Amino acid sequence: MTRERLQLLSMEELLALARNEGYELSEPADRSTLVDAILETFEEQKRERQEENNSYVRVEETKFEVSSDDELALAGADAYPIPKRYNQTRITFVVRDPHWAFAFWEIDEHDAARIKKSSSEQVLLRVHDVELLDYDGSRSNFSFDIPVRLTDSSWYIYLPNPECAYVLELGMLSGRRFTCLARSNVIRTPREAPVPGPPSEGQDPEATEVLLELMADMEDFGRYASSEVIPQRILSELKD
Amino acid sequence: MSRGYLSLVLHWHLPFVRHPEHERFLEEDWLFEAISETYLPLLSVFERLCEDGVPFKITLSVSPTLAEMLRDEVLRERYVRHLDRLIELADREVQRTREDPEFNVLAVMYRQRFRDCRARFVERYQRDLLSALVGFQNLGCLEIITSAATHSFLPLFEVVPEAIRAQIAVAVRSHVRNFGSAPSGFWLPECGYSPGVEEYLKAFDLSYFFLETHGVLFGSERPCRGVYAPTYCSNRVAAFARDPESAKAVWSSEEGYPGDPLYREFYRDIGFDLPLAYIRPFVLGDGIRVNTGIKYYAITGPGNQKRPYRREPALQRAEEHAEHFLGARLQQVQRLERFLDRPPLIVCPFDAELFGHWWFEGPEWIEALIRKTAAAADRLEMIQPGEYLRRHPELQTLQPCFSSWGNKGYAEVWLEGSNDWIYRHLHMLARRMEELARRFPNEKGVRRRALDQAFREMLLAHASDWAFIMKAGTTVPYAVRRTREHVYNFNRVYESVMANDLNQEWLIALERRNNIFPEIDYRTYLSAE
Repeated sequence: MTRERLQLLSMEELLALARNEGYELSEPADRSTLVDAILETFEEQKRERQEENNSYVRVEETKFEVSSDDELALAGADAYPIPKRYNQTRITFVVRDPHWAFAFWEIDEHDAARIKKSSSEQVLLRVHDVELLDYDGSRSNFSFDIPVRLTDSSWYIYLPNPECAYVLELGMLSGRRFTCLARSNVIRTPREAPVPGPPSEGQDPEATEVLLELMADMEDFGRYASSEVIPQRILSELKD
Repeated sequence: MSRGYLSLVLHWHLPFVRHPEHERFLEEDWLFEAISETYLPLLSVFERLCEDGVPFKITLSVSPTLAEMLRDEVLRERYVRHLDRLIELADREVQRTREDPEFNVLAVMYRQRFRDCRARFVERYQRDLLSALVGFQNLGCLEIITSAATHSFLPLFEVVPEAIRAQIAVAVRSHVRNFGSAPSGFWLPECGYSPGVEEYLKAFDLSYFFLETHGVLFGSERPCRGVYAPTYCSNRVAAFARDPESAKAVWSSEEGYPGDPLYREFYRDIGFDLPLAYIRPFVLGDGIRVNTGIKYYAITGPGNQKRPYRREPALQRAEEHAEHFLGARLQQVQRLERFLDRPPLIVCPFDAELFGHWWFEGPEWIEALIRKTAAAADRLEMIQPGEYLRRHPELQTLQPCFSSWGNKGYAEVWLEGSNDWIYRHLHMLARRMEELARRFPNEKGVRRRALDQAFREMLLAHASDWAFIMKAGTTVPYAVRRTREHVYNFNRVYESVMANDLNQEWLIALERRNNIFPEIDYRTYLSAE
């Protein structure tokens, strides 16, 4: 973003932009302060992104850089209204990496009305470890609950084990009684390290070990070494 | 037999961007810049090598969205107009810099490049770059493969498998139409692999794919040959994993070649460096400056003080870097060969737009690398996956692991706070598409066209590029709008068809605008059943 481009904008547009970018206006700002603040915000965002992204993402991004003056998020996206919800009770579970998965769900009007009526009911996500089970809803290896609000519709969930099958239930807890409203698909978290033990076929296992050692020297294969890396959305919620 | 193999894989991809409803549209420049800076220069490299009788073997993945755009008359015409504007600008630059030899020589260079682009595109290739590629495929120099129809990041669609299947089915059909033969291999967008995707590949006779190093390293067994030989999935579709060492030489922001001080600086463009009054005829209608491709400075160093770019030393450096890369690969082969029962294979996949667009000297680096490799063919031989599999059909079988080449190696780039809201809609579109295909198994006339268009809109919404851009942060409003647009269009068709209340005028306008995959057939959405 260039100063010149911002200076072409009206005061209203600048204010809208500042609000969009989350810049808090404590008092009526003058034009040049506003431009400075917006520029600084853009620069900061850019720096943060650069730090987060690996070199591949940074290079791929340049395919889309044909102007330093990006389109500004001024106009509403109302030209294409899309539904907030599809009025179906359903929960979907999507793997993101060895320890995190993303759940999104919806509760239809009928179920939502039922929950609202009863003040004692708590909406829950019940996370089940179903590794090596043919899960039919009756039994899992272990489970834990995540209380959510009726207004929530998505959540990032930390999962203890890589290479493990998990399923989610969306339900209501009334006293100690759990009622399942919807069950998700089963996901499987990916591995984060090579499996132990020599391969069952192929060449001399010792040679294999040397090859893997050689590769380990070149690249940090514990790319996901820190399982404590917290997704941005959760960070932002923690800040709130 | 050579002592080692080098498999160079170039992935050509851009998302479908075509806006005939606007006189000029900023994001169409993605294609125009890529043609001028990457695709035409690479074609020139291939031509020079052929003329000189230098053998080469490259695997070229051309995404279906890009192939469809390269075929499109509106975009071809607009590209020529784009070049005409640039030639005019370069003419002015030659005048403006006439007293300043350091810059003048560059202005003359750019003018010549734009003129060459125009002559090659219009006269030599008759605006048809796909046919030019087929020519090299017929010579055996290129093995052209396909990718997902709209480059969807497949692992995030596991729960709606028909959508994954459709990405592959539509891609293969488009490839046959655009390149005249069925593809033998598949580029997984963003190297995004999740277990089971090989079943869909097999169903379309695709015999291999590429994935990130740890996709094989973290497989169901330790890979007995590391990543220096492909492996089979249980259905005998072969997985070729990226070599981390060679990737680092090029990609690393600290040590990678493209950051050399002599190379051209990507971020200094006269579109932004010169006064608006001067550049105004070439900016977008409402005064938005755009990159022109005319960039006068060298990377120089980390600060803002840049020296003027000098072409000859930069090309010399590209040559040295090619020499260095080859030397490192030869050493790598030497180091590895005693631990392998066959010549080690080094797989180097790259986004092609890295070369030329971002790394200006990249095409010359590739050319130098190929020439030098040809001279060292007894030690390192370029090979394509098909040929490798013919020579070495005995491979270890293992189940690769969920992986991608994005940050941290899994799905984090395409599934995070900035873009996670889209999946609710993208999955719903896939479910609704299935519902439409079941409910209307064999429609004709207008309803058939509406259902075909719904299929197109779903595919366009599923492009990984929109999620990528939301995360990467460049031109986010466009990516958001495109996602919303295709979700909206799809839902509108869905609801109209369900209510038997279709606005034909709207449909016709939509078909004209989002005209990708002209032969699409919604009835194939469920054809596996």
